[in-house]
Parts: sequence; C-alpha cells; structure tokens
Amino acid sequence: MQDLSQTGSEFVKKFISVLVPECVSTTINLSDEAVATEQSKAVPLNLSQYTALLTHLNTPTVQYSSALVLPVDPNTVLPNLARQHTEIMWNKHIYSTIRTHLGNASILFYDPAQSDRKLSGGITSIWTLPLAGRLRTFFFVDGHKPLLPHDAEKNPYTKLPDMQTQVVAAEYSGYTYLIEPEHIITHAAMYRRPKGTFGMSCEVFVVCVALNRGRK
Amino acid sequence: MLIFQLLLVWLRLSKGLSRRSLRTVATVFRIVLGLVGLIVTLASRASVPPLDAKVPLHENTLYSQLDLEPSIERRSCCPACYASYSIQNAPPKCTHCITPGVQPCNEPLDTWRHRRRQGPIKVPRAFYSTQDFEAWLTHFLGRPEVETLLEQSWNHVPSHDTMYGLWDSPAWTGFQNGWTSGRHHLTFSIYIDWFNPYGNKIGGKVVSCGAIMLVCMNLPPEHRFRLGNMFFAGMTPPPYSPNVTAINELTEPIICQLLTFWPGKVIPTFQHPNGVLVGVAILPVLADLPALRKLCGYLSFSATYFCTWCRCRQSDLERLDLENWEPRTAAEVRSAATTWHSMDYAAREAQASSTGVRWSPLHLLPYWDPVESLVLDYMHNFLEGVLQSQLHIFWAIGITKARVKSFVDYDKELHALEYEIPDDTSEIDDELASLRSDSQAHDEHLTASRLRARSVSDDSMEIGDFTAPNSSFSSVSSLPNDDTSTIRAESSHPSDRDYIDVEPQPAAEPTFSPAQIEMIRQAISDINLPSWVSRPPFNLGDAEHGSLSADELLILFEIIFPMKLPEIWLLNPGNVRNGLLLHNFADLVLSSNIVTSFKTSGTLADQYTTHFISFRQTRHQLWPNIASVPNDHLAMHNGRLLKHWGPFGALSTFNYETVNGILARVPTNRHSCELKLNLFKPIS
Repeated sequence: MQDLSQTGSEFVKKFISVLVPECVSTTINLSDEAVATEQSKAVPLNLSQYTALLTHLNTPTVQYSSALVLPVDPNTVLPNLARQHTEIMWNKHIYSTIRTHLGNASILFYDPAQSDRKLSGGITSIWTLPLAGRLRTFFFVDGHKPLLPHDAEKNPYTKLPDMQTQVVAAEYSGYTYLIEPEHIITHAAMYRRPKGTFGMSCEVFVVCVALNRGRK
Repeated sequence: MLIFQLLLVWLRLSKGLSRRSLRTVATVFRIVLGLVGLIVTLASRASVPPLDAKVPLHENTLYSQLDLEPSIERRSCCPACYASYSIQNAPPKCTHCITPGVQPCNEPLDTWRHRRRQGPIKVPRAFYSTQDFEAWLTHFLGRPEVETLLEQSWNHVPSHDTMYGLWDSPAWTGFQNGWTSGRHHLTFSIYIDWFNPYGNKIGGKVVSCGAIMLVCMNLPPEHRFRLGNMFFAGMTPPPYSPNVTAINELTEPIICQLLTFWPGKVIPTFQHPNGVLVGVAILPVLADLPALRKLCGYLSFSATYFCTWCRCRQSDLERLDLENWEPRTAAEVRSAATTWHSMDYAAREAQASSTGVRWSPLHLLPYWDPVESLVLDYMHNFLEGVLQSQLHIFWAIGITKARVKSFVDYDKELHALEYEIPDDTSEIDDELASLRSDSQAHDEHLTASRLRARSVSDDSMEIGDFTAPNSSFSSVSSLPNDDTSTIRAESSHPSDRDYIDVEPQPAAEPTFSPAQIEMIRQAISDINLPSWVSRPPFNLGDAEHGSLSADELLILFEIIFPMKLPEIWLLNPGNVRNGLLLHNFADLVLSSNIVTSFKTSGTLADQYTTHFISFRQTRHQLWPNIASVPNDHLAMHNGRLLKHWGPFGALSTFNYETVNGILARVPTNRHSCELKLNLFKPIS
C-alpha cells in the first residue's frame, strides 16, 4: 500500500514537473536510480581537487574519510568520482566555467574560510556529487590577482569605492577556492583592458559587481 | 477525469490553446475515454458508465465544473463619464452629474448589435467589470499553502538597522500601531496602469485599457507576483483612459468593497474552515507618476503645487535646501480633498490650484494616509527620469533633431485623429469647464467634445512631467504648436507605452566626442556580461535602436558606464571639466545604486540625499542653462522615502509592468465591449 501511494505521489510529482517545471523543488532527495545515473556519468577528480573537497566537507566536523588512505571505510568514504559540468543553472542564473563563458564564470563570492570576506574570481570547474542522498554542487574558483603595488596606486576606483568596480590583473592568482552555490553573491562583469590603461604596466581586468544590488 | 480537466485548463490558460483547439483536444479525450470504457466493459463483462460525457467541450463549462469561474460583476458604463449602472436597470441615457445641480451627462448608454439568430438587440455601449473581492479572498485563503506563507509576515521580527524589505520598514511596522502583525490582517498594495490590449503595435490602434491590481504584501516577495496570488480588481473600459474625474467613478466601487474589510469580515480559510475574522487594508499605492496622481487625487506636474510630498511650487524646482521644504501632512491633504469634493465645480478650480489636491475615493478609507501611502517608483522616476535625462539631455547622447521631429510628426498624427488632445490636459479645471460647455451644446458636439475630455492614453498627464519651466529650447518654441505640453513624448514610442521619454529640452553641447562615443559603444560590445543581463544596444545614441528600456538604462549606469567613463575622463587628468564630470557621474552612480538596492538603512538613505544633492549641484555647474524638471525634485524625496518604505527594489513596479505585458498578450478578438471579460477570465 505504501509502495502504491509512493508510486502515486511520484506520478503526481512527474505530472506537475511536466506542467509547471519551475514549481518542482530542487532539494528533493535523490532516488537510488538518480544516484546511479549520476555516478554513471562521473569522472575521477584529480588529487588536488579530491583533497580540497575532502578538506571542505570535513570542516568544521569530520564526516568523510579519504578513499586514498587504507583501510577504506565504505560507510564514510568520500567517492573520488564526480560529474563534471561546463555550466549549471542555479537560482535561475547560469554559472559556467571560464573556458565556456567568461561572463557567466566571473563571480563575487564569500570566502568559505572567512564568511564575511568577499572575493572575486572565475569558475574553473563545476562538479556535482551525490552525498547523503542529496546532489551537491561544488565550484572551483580561481581568485583574481591583485595589482602590483605600483599599479595599485594608479587604480582610479580606490577613490570611487561606491561604483562597486575594481581593477585586477588580467591573469588569475593561481589560488583556487572551493565553494558551494550558497557562497556565490553575484555575477561580475569583466572588461579586459590593455597595458597602459590608467597608466598601468600590465594588461588588466576592470571588474564590476554592482549586479548584486544588495540582494545577498 | 480530473487530470483531463486540469490538463485542458492548463493548455488553455498556461499554453494559450485556442478555444477551437481546446474543443478538438477535448473531443479526442472523449474518444479515448470512450474506447477505454468500451474495452473495460468488454474485458470485465460488466457495464461501465460512459466516461466520455464528463469531458467538457467548452471553456466555460470547464471553468464552472472546476469552480474556477471568477466572480466578475459587469456593469453598464457611460462611455463619456464612466459612471456605472446595473445592466438590468440602466437608464437609456447617463444620469450622472459631476456635482449636484449640474446638468446630467446624458450620454446614451445603449447601442444596437445585430445577432444572427436574435436580430438586432440593445446592448450597453461599454462595460465596467470588477471582480468580487470577498469571493476572491475566500478562494485565496482556501488554498492550503497560503496561510503558512502569510504567517511569515505575521511572525516577522523586523531588523533593527538594515532593512531588507517592506516588513522591516517603519511604513509596515508603524501602520495603525502594528496592525500589520495581527493574525489574519492582510495588507495589500494597489496599482493601476494602462496598456494596449491589442498589443503594442506601431501602426496599430492606440487603445488604452487600465488594470487595477491588488497584491498581498503579507506574502513573501517571491510569491507576491504569481498571478494566482494577485487580485485583479477591475478593468477600465477601453479605448480611452479615464480622465482625472472619471477615474473616481471607476475606483470607488473597488474602494467601497475594501472599506467593508477594514473592521474585518469572517472568511472561511483552509486552516479555519468555519471562518476567521480577516481584516484588509491598503498600504502602498503604486503606479507610474501620472497615474499615481490621478489615482490619489493630486494635480499633475504642470500644476503650481505639483509635489505629493511637499508644498514646493514649480518655481522651487532648483531648490536643494531639503530641510526647509514644507512637508504635506495627511490631515491637510484630506481636509483640502474634502473641501474640493463638497464644492461645486466652478469653485473647484481655485481650490485645486491653491492646494494641488482634489478628491479621490481612497479618502473613503479611514486609515489611508494620502501622503505617506504613496510610493515613488524608482523605475519611472529615477531610471526613466533622472538617468535617461542625464543620457539624452545633459550628455546629449541619443537626442537628435530627428528625434525632436519625430515628436512633432507623431503629434501631428494624433491631431489628425478625431480624438483631439486638449492643449493642457493636466489641469482638472479645464476639463471641468470643457465638460460644462459641452453639456450645453448640440448633441453632435457633445459627443465630440467629450472625446476631447478623455485622453487618448492615460499618460496625457505625463505631458508636463519633464517640461522645464524655463525651457529655452529654440526648436521647441518654433514648433507648429506652441504649447510644448502637447508634444506627447510617450506617444512617440507606441512600442513601449510606459516609456517616459524626456521632453525636448535645451540640448547640451555634446559631452562626448564621436571618438569617445565609439569607445563607449565598443565597451558595450566588449564587456563580458552574464547571459541573464540584457546588453544595451551596441549603437547607443543612434535613433535606430529605439527607446531604451528601464533595464537597459540600469545596466548602462550601474555596469557599463562605471567601467568605461572613468577611463575616458582620466585620459587627460589635468582637464578640470573632466574631473567635474567624473565627480558628477560618481554621485549619480552612488545615488542610483542606493535607490535600486534590495537593502537599505538610515545611513544609506542619508548618503543618497547627500550624493544626490551633490550630483545636482555639479550638474548645475556643468550645464547651467538646463533647468531642473519635476523628476529631479521628486528624486530629492527618495532619502526620506527609503527610510519610510525600506528598499525600493522590492516595491518597484517592474513586476506589475510584467503583468501588464501578460495582459497585453492575452488573445482578444478586438471586440472592445467584450475585451475586459476576455482579459479578466484568464488572469483571475
């Protein structure tokens, strides 16, 4: 009987999802079938990504054990397989990797290690992973590189802080942050400017984060 | 069976299936169900009742079977003065008098229509449809999830400093001593705007139909603007928008319905099927700037006392000493409105001119504050007002002689129509005088002159919105019609009927050289924006891109220009004018960022005021020959209004305009008398 009612409720959910797709909650628990489908498309994370993910998930409390350390505990082990995406939809906005769409990849986000610190950067990879019956999304983000001191002095936006615009080096810092969707504040607009702009010694990005408009 | 019925309703309402196709689909369902019934009967060898007969073929049957039929009251409506009558008891001619003792309207109310079977029948010339609020509220509160959502507002604890929405604002918490936090106390916003039900077609008919909407502000913001949660109170009769007196005839029945809910009425709800006392109040009044004045009983921007929040005059437009402005009070406005209402219309002229106030049915609501309840919509005031004039008038980007000519040409076209625009539609006095003289004239003249008394579009009052009192634009004074107020900027953009364009003002010397304009255009093209952001036109400044939407103006001034203009102006750091331009622009951007934000605080509101005053000061230094316009004055009130209402982001009319867009896309068969019903049913 329970199975029947479950089947009925699944049918209604599917029916509603066809009629009004936007009404369907995205936080529903994954069925075993969905987990299997997700895992069938998974690829291995590289060592640094896996280590970063394990550290992230075990902060502040240890929940997962490493798959790389023997003996492996099947109940707590963090799988080293995840599904990679080039873009993903979250809160009606598309987030992409830098290679796919720079505009959708540039974001302002909260530093997970220091929640009141806001950083800007570009998404380098997007992963989804079923954990505890729920599909979780992770972004690896390369932070923007600050200007060299002699260039920073020439940054006009330091005197115009209310424009919510900054100048950063055109290359990324090389420091990668692992964040989840709730850490994302907003997309950032990016404008690549050549060497010599504002008298600076290198190519720069002008970054504007005014799209947030105080929402988060 | 229910699934088939729901599917048909969904196809019709959500996917826009035509009635004819609906019947076809329903017929297919009938055949399928009939076959299923036959197979089951044959397999079980038992008689199965036929299922097919239960699938309704007609839309109306479907709605009535599912209890989806909205409770709509249709009344015969005078096409001239908009007085409404019961269809059964309507007199042959309108008996309404503007004030006691005045000659009645006498406009014929009926016309003859030929029906194929019945032959010619007498039908009302115009209808006014309103939805029954109690029936809607019963349906609304009967939904399982609604009370749970409403509880969020009743249990909300306002934040102390930063305000994230209306629920945190003094306007909400201080309304009638905390009335809003009482259980089953529902606070609604009221909104009115006009749209073209035949769609926005440049070569098409200019038809204006008004939607009066109420939105339950107790719902969380993400649920407020779902069509099922909005109450569509009434549709004003097309093809004209009512004038300043006629609108009272249309809003009064709605206000009277709401008035009965102020002490509370027992309504069954999902959690209280036996009924619970539900109180209803109207708090924010939202509309574009001219409609707000029409609805709330204020004179237009061209009146001496044009401001709804203070008693500044037209001659005070340049004043920046905000602290010395004399604010209006609710008691003063209510008293002035009551006095105006009790006068005969000959005396109303002087009364309205001396106070800037006339009567509105909203004054019937005992709790309504005619000053503090008004919301200054930032989309119309700041984006399409201040920002747009900065772009076109002060920077002289995109305002060309050709554009000015287009204003004139379109105006000529309007005058060629039989529906003439009065020289100054803004003052009620003229309209009343016109009506009086019309009523004494010959019947033929009567009809024609009444047409004049109505505006082709509601926004005829927008005429004066952006007219600088000391405008010295020579091109304008040389136009064939020497009254610049008849150059209807809005009408020149029929593709975007809410676009409030700037009046042709004194065009400033171009701030940007052609090379700099090209740099800006290149930046618009090169800046990497997320895909959900609508990119402004690459050919900014060319007439070809048409009107800029409010959204495009916002992106230009908050994203594109801040990323590019400092680079342009700092190319030559020694240039004093460029430094002043940058200072002026930075103040504008900060003001814009605060006013469009989804969070605010007292500190931010004060920052806004400081920077906006600084912006106007430097603007006057840079362009001393360009006079301020009423929009500039109104924007000076934003600081105080932010402190009162909280962030404007959640109160903007963007969402309401979206609904207007939906209404404009509802298929109609161009039968204007049936139009309101056609529009009402799908959305109610």
